[in-house]
Amino acid sequence: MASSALFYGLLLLNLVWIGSIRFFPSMDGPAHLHNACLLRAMLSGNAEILRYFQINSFVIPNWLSHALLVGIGYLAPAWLAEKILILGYIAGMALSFRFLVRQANPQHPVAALLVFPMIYTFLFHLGFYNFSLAFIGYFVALALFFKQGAKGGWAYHLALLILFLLTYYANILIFAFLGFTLGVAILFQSCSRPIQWKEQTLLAAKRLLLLFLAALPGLILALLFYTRTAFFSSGQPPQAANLLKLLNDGRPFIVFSYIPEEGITSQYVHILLVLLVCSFLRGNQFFGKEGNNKKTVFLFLPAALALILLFVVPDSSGAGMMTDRFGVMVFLFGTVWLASRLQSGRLTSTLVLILLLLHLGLLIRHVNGPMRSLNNQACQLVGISDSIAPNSTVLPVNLSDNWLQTHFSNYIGIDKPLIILENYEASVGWFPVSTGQS
Amino acid sequence: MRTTKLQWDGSRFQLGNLKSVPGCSWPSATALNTEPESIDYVLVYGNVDKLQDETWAELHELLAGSYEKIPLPADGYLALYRISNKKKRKQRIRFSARKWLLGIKNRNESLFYPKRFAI
Repeated sequence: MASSALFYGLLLLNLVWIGSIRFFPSMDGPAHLHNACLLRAMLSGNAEILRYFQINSFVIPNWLSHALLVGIGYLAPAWLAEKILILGYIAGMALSFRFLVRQANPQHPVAALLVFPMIYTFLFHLGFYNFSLAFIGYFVALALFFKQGAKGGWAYHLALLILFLLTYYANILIFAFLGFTLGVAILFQSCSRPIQWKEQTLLAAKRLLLLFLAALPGLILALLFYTRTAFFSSGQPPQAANLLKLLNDGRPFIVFSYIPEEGITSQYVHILLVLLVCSFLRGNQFFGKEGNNKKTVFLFLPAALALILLFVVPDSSGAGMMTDRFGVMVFLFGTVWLASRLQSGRLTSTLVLILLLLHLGLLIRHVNGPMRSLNNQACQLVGISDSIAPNSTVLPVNLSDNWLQTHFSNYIGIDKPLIILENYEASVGWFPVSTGQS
Repeated sequence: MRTTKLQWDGSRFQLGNLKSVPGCSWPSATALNTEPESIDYVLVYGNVDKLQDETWAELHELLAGSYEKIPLPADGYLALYRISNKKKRKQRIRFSARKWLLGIKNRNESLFYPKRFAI
């Protein structure tokens, strides 16, 4: 009861705090808002914009946040559409994680509180909205799996199909991890049943086939996407020492200023590790006797796979920034595993409370510091779009020293169709708006 | 209303008669069958005072010659320039004269004028 009140109180605090600023300033966020505006213009037949851009003819991933921004943008100004998306993401992450914890570890709801520091990743602050939204689909699908178990009928598989598709349209990598996690989950669950080997195999095969069918539309789209899209060329994997530092520092949660923020984020990591060790010391062996741990033991596998990929996949491969992506996944999937094993107790409660205080400290620091001043600059840019005629061409010249402002010029085109000559989304080919030349 | 679909070509960079200005680049939309087209606005953001640096001298000069500054609250974060009417008029006259000289009735049939962004 107390943990529920704390959970909802914290969620409300997070929403109010983030809602207190007009824009959620990020590197790619303005580009998403601008391209949503271009999409609306093209859908309404704006011939001038259609001369320069086209809607990507292939149903690529990365559509989810754009579709939401376009849809909400018909009813509300762009800043409000972004606000609804951001607050929806925060609430969606918290509630879907809580739903998952209630299925995977129902005796210890305190574990749901672990999600709060995990919401504000470096990539979320960079404006990777689709990548971030994909985790909501992952958590909900996994929670449904625990809720339905082997009894899942057509409604469950239909829900899985929808979640697979939504996850595909958000991020193809999380889509792949969702398939992997559910596949492994079925194998573990089937093996742990006290039935004959032949019966086990048949049951597992049937459930895997149904899972495959649920994932099939997404799989076909994913296959087509990979065969049609040119990605960045690969380099060397990052050095192991750098990756260990990344993990120890909690790099996936450092956003604006490394050294001061690392003082907080590294404590996240250490607290999570202590909680994990505690979950082993409190009689929960890895393949523990307790029924709950046996049911969820496979949850270490997605985190382990993400950890392996972090060390072997070059940063520049695929869509780029792979180290940051796998870094986030290690922590989020690792937290799911930890939450499924966590047990209530005085030490656990104390450590979780410290973690939440650190999270609030970092949130306040971010919002009251850099985010508020960046928000003011974003508001200025939006304000001057009144002086620009619709459908004009604009050359932006970036003289900012702040790397986060790379695409800030796009703020002038979030409510008015403009041809801004700095539109990275349109040039790469894996976003809904395209120049047609990628 | 212009309806010709443009081709984007990232390898073409032109600013006025210049192919590049130090520190400043943009993709060029090209189509072989339309006349050149000017960039309507130039938005400078960040530390606007840097525009006075030697690095940006060429851009500064081009803006001073062909664009007019739109008055904004002076806090040094933003500067917005709009193409001057004089420059626009000059271009219209130039293109009309060329079309007349070449006897082109329909500009979409012409292969002589690459569409490009230019100040």
